[in-house]
Amino acid sequence: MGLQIWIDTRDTHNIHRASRFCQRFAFLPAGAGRQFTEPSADQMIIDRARENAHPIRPGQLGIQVQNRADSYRLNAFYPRRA
Amino acid sequence: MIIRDSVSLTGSFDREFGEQTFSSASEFPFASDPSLWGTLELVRLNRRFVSVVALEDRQDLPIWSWSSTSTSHCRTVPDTSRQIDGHAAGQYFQQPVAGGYLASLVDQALADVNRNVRKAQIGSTSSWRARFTVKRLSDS
Repeated sequence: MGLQIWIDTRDTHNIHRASRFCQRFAFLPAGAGRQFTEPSADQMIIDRARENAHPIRPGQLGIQVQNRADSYRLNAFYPRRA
Repeated sequence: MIIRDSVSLTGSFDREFGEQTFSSASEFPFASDPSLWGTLELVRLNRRFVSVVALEDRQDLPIWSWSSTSTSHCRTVPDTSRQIDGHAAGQYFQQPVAGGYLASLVDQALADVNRNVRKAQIGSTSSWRARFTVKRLSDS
């Protein structure tokens, strides 16, 4: 549940292994906080990557969630510098 | 921010709709193979607006939308005059953005992508851009 985004800034489409230019993020509407009810945004590793991307500092990823009766609306913020 | 193990979150799974992936589905190792990722073009027109142009085989079907920090109106304007990569642009969305860099996909748009889209593009002018290309599963 939630949104995952993979980003490859190499502008190549034929390399099958991730590098430090590849990043992966997960934006979840819940799962953080003491009660696991707060939204969560985190950077994640990419399987089989040659090297991991530069870590994103805490707080650089932003997330807002509006819970509705049968759905949620999620806004995710990703810093351009990253 | 701690980079943590990704095993528990491989794929994008919704408890109601199941797996909803942007391009390649779980038959493909998209979690580890960047060549399977789509290409996305995001362009910020100015400080207040983000424009979205979606190319698709069925031009009457919006496949892509854009969410912002503002919950105010979102207007959809047909923009068939544009030509991008030799294809006519299908839909043009413009929505206010309060600032920052955001990527929030509308859930139902994701469900349509795998079925209908060969190539799509978000974007237009100025400061930052990323491009996405979506392949049909049968083309992969």
